[in-house]
Amino acid sequence: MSKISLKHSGGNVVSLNSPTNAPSAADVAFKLPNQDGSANEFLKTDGSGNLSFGTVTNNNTFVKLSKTTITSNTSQVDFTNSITGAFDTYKTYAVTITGLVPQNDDYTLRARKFDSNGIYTGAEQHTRVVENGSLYSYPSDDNFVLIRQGIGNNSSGSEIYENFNGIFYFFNFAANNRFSVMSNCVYKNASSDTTFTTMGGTTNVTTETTGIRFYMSSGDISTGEFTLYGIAS
Amino acid sequence: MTRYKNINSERIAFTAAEETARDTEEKAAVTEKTANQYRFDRTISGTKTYPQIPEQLDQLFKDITAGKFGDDAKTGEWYIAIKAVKDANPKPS
Repeated sequence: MSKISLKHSGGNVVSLNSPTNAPSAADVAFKLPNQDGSANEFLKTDGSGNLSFGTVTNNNTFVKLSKTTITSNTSQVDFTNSITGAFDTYKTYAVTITGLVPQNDDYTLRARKFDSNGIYTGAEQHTRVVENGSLYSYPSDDNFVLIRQGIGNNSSGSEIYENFNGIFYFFNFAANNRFSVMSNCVYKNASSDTTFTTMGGTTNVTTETTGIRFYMSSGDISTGEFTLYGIAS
Repeated sequence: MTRYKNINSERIAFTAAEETARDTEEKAAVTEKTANQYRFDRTISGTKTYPQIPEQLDQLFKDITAGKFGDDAKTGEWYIAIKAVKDANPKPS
């Protein structure tokens, strides 16, 4: 087997080696690109031996953009457009919330949108919540009511009896659109009853949405993991 | 005690103005929760809660059948429709 060896002045050699197994059918020839690629690009082939630099297409549907882990009492969790890819790259974004335990027993999870003026608190955030099969409407609140019953926070030592898990999808971030949210959640309420909630929320304003805030109606979030994804179409 | 917010994974202390606004909001939430607690107690979390709707309607049907609302109630549209279903699908004796 032959190889091309490049000896460094320091003494050691870097070499290009022929493959371990012989080419199966015919000679294999590679033609190098005539210029360097951009940062983080990879060398690829066109199937005819012509090499070039290119990017790797990310075919993941859920593209993780940011993760926030809460381990001590925190009043608000915000995702803003300072995060690369948020909120002008994808048509749909998702936030998964896992293991959320509230500081205060029996209070509800809420959300608000940001726009260019900061957090939006106009009474134009409308929610309909279907919880355990019953429909509840919140037609003119200053926030999105994400669930109807409060979340429990009962635990014993390392055993967690009550917490909240859910996934939220967000749409229409661009200006001249009405920001919208929908979700599926399951949690234990303050009586440790299983609570399943699906909800939809819309706004009546068309300002560009530049961020999302999650918070409890009262008290802090003690623990929980919030992960923001862009959903590739 | 100082409150904290988390912005894009960075933990930041509340400003005095944010503390005041949050105090007001939490107080309103507690007031609203207290005012509406009876709704949850009656339906979900109380020591005594409403029966499921089918059970309530069955109780109503039985009371009408027993004449507690007068004989006219037995000629009502709802009673006739429910009775027709029950008659078509009799409970095994």
